[in-house]
Amino acid sequence: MAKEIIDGQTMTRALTRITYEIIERNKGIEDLVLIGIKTRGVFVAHRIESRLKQLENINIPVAELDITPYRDDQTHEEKDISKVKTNPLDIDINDKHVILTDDVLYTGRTIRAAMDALMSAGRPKKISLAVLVDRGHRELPIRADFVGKNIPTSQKEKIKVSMKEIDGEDKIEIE
Amino acid sequence: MELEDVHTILIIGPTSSDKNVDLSTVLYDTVSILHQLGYKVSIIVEDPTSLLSSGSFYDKTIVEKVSGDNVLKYVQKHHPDAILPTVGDRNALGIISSLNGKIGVTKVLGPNFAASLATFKREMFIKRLTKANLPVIKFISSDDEKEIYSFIRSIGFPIVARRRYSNRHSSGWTNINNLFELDNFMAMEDISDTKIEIERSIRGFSEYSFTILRDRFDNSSLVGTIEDIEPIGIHHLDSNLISPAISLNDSKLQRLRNFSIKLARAFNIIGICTVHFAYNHVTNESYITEFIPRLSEETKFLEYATSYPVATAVAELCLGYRLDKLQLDAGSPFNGATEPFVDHITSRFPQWKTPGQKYLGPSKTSDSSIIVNGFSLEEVLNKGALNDKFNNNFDRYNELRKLDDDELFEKIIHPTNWMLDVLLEALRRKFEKPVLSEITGINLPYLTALQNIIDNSLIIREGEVDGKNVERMVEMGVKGVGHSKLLLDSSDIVTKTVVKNKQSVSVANNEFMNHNYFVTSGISNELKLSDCKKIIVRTPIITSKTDVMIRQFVLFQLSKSIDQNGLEPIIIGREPWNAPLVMRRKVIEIDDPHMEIKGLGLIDNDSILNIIDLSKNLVDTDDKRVFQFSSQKVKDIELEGNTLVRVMVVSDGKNYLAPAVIYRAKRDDHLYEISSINNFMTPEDRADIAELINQELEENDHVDIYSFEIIKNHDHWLVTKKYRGMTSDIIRHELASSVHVIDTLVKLLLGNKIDDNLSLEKIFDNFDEKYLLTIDSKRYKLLDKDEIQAKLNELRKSEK
Amino acid sequence: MKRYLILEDGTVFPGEGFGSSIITTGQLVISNNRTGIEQSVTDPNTEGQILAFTIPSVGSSGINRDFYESINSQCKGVVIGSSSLSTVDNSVSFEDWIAGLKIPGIKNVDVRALSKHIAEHGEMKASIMDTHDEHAMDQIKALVLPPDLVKRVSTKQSYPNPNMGLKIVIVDLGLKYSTLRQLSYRNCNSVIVNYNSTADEIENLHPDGIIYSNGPGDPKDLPNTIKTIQILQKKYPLLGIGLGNLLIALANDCQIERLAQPHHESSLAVKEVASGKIDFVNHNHSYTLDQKYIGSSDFIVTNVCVADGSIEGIRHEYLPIMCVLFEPEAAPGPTDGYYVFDEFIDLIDSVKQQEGARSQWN
Repeated sequence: MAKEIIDGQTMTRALTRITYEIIERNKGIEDLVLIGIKTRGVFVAHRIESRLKQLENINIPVAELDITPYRDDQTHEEKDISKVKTNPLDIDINDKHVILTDDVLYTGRTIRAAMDALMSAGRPKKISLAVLVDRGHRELPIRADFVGKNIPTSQKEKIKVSMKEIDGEDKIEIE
Repeated sequence: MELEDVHTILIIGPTSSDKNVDLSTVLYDTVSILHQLGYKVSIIVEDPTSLLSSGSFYDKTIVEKVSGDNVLKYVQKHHPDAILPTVGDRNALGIISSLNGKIGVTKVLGPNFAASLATFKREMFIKRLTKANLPVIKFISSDDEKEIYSFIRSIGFPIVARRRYSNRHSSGWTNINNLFELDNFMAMEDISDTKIEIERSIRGFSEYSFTILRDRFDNSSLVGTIEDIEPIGIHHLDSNLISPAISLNDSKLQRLRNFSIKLARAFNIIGICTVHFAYNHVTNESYITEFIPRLSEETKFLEYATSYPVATAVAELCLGYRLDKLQLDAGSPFNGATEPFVDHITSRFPQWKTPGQKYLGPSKTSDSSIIVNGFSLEEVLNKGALNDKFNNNFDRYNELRKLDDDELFEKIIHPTNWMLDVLLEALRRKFEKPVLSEITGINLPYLTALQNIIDNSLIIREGEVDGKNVERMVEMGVKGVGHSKLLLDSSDIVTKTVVKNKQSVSVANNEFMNHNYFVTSGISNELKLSDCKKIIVRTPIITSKTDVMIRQFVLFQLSKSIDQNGLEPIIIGREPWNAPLVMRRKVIEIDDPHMEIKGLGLIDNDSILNIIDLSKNLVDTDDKRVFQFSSQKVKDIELEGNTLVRVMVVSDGKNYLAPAVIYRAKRDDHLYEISSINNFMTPEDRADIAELINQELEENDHVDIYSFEIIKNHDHWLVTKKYRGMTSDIIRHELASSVHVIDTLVKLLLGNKIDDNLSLEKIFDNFDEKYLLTIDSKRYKLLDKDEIQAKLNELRKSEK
Repeated sequence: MKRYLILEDGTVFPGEGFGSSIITTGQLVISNNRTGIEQSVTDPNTEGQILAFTIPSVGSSGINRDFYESINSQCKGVVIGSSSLSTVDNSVSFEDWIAGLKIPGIKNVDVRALSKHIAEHGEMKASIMDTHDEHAMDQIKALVLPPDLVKRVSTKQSYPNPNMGLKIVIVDLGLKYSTLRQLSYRNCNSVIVNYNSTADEIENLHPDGIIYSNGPGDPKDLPNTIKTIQILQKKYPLLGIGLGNLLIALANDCQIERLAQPHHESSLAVKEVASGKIDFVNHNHSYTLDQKYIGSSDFIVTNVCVADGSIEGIRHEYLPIMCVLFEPEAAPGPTDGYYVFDEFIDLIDSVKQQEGARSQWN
């Protein structure tokens, strides 16, 4: 039975706060690039971008990253490098500060796969990570720079993030 | 910003039931803004005369029973992008809830399926509110005795109970305060085949209503609050209403505001949502009793009370506009993100057609209402519920005086629509206020206001109004004192009768010009008039629903005509009138319940060209500029006929025009009425009728309007009724011809003349493109030229 | 008894006296608060002010001591239209309450005409008097409003509002109790200090964050406080509310200006620039920040007033400083603004995390 633990307003305020922190920790945001991990990470990226636009009146490029070809938690039979299509990143990340965005940070494997994809697409000056929810249980040495909410969970539980753009409403549930 | 894929909209219009309140202005505003913003709007409505001449805004006007089937038929045939149910009263919400899953990609704007269904289905309402942690009264419906008693044990007394029979009907609610009464109730009928419904009693709790506007970005604003003088147990619209809710302190106000916003969010209602609360000031319990996610009598009242363009804003919010980026019309942006600040009290007093006492309860019994404005409770009471001109309070006083204390007490325990007069009498007899408050559930501040009124009327009766207390009299809305010599002769700055604007001074109220005024007390006048010449329209109190619609139409058309002719329309009435938004910014409207405006001399006499009076009885017959609009019967011949015409005639004293001819035929027990048949009259008929009119108007030498009833009797036409003035036929012509009548009248009053020697075609000329067929005064069909011609031919064949 | 409200420019408003019968003079403020009489009259911001309430039937909702915003009232006088001597909850009547506080009041005043006059001619001094002759006018003109309003309301002695969470130091410029209530609700372990406390004194309390509260008067009268802010802002997260906001802005080379129409309403819409969200919040300020200076400063505008476009909130681009001109603690007014306190706590937490991270990698 899914239980709502974060409502829509809290979620949007968390995104606003992440935006303020991004501004605070970067002297100048002109070289920023937001890259969202499909699917909901992309919406997170767009929402941050629209807030940056409202606050600083500057257009930050947003791109999508599809990391399914790079995930290492697929079994070896599933993954056959030669059959996998890598979707090229459609923006230039060389010498840019990339902020990777995703909805939930858990084991860290998705992020590691994302970084692999980024590295093979160019040489960014710096990569930071912004997530809506950090639920603990990291299996790799990966840390988020900007976190919406820290939600302690047991590994038996599932975190479900709903976003207006695709799920019709904003909320975070646990089941 | 607005919803991208909506271009065509179907509006579910009101049914023609008499029980409905008049939402014609609200409907007009809704359609007007949608039309201006470029949407293609169609409507399904039962009575097209309720459209307040918005007919030209519609792409399609479907005149049919407003039912789920008919709406579904329309959707399947025309595939509108969206359906808007906000102006269709309860019926529209019922239709929406029945359309779930049946209308494909057509969107529902405003209240969605769930919200609409929850306004009917009690269980769903309670379940949803409980899930959202909102306070709702627990309710049970069961035929299992164990379950019933267990429930009663869990909620305790007092409770209310009723029986629900297998045919879905139910008995009325019974109050049960203790075990004895519970045993009696349970013993009354056998439990088989019926369910018993029980809930916690909130009888005696204070009743409040909060109205929220919400956009699809989750921005909500509290547009207005209303409090009832009478407690829960008396229908909201049978109670005397006060806005804003002055008895709520900050903590209570914010609590109920937060609940209201939470409810709108829980159902994801976009547009408007009115939430009703029951509040107990002793225990601080609050419960949500119902919610209304559409426009209603309350929102109409709030639109006048707060000057906020509610109907217009709601239409836009439903179409996806942002709360702070609305438009007043296509081109005037306006910030809707305000919680309007009102610095005076607007009050709504219900009215009953017949004068006797009526017992009040949870079902509505009143027929109409009056709205008054004031800066204090005493003022609104004196101008409204205790205004002898509206309620014959002197007669009531005389009747109540005769009762002994016990009989009076009975009237206190069993509330009637004379409640305030009863309380006045009780206070005169020194009944104690706290006790009265406890028994009636009416909060102390109201009783104190009544006491103040009694103390003042004593002063007035004893003739002791002097320099010291006259200003207090004026503040309390006592008639006739505000411009007395006492005040005018005073060398000091004094409080006297003045005219103030409805809009208060606030950072956020600066956006829209408001020309609604009211007569009240103060030290300065705020009436701002333009330099144009003026025409004043005086309106009386209206009590019947048909008359309300006629008044809406007539005032609207008169204002438009006056404005189009370059003059400033000033509407002065014993009760206020809120014009459709498009005219609201051009019409000066003054609420003057004591008819004091004339004595204030605020309108330069030389700038007034005409005075059009809608009252039945004129007060000043010596002012040559006064034109009596309402009808007086001049001729009445008792003669029946199966075929007759009713003709509206406008004359300039020499020539006349007859732009509206209604045809009426009685055939086989049915009454058929066609408006209008001007374009279908035979030359002989025209000639005959013109001849008769000429005769009737022979002695008329001034501008006037007439209404004739002319019966066809054995191939001859005979005038059987003649009215001087406008009859209720005007509303039948909600199409072009009535507009023409009023517009012509205004032009003639301004001195224009009708051409001499007009041909008969020109005299009977009218611009109607659609024609109204009324069957038995309750079914309507909107037909085009060919269809009407066919019907007319059919009816003419059987003329006798 | 007939009394008069006389304005600095000579305009006279007649009315009936109640409460104390003394003659009083102060800065006239028109308050469009819909509710919250108790909060408004006991708000330390009212030091030196004569408050005019524009709502009708004042007092019918009752007077409740639970809603005081300071121990006593500093208000110099109250002006109202109609009043109600009865309440819905059997509490003391408004008139008796004002009499008990020894404040002079005048009722049955045409507050509509008064608020219109002030909107047209700007805020000014006024007196409640028994006559309106020339002598009265001389008295008003002679009055100079004291420049040390904050000194009068600020706590002389530091005091704690203990709890178990983050350590917050609040510089009392005219602090309302409801601010403390909101902090308590969030378990903040607070210490409230005098407005003139030095940077050292505040640092010795080892705060996690510092709040500069709202208060009365002109921010330019507090140069020492501004200097202290310049020192502290380099090391601690700051939250500025109302007057606090103005001081922080001045400490960072911004300019302030008077609002064309001052904000004294319990419910005015404020838009959060980043998300577009509209909240209704309590406003009690006559000043705002001059837009011209903000662009070149290190601040970003976080909130604007929807009705007149004025700046209502700012945040520093790289220092942990956030400010709002409205009153997030409400009291009275809608509670939409409570999130500001949550945001401040998040700010403190993220600064701590940063410091923790920094110390780890160093």
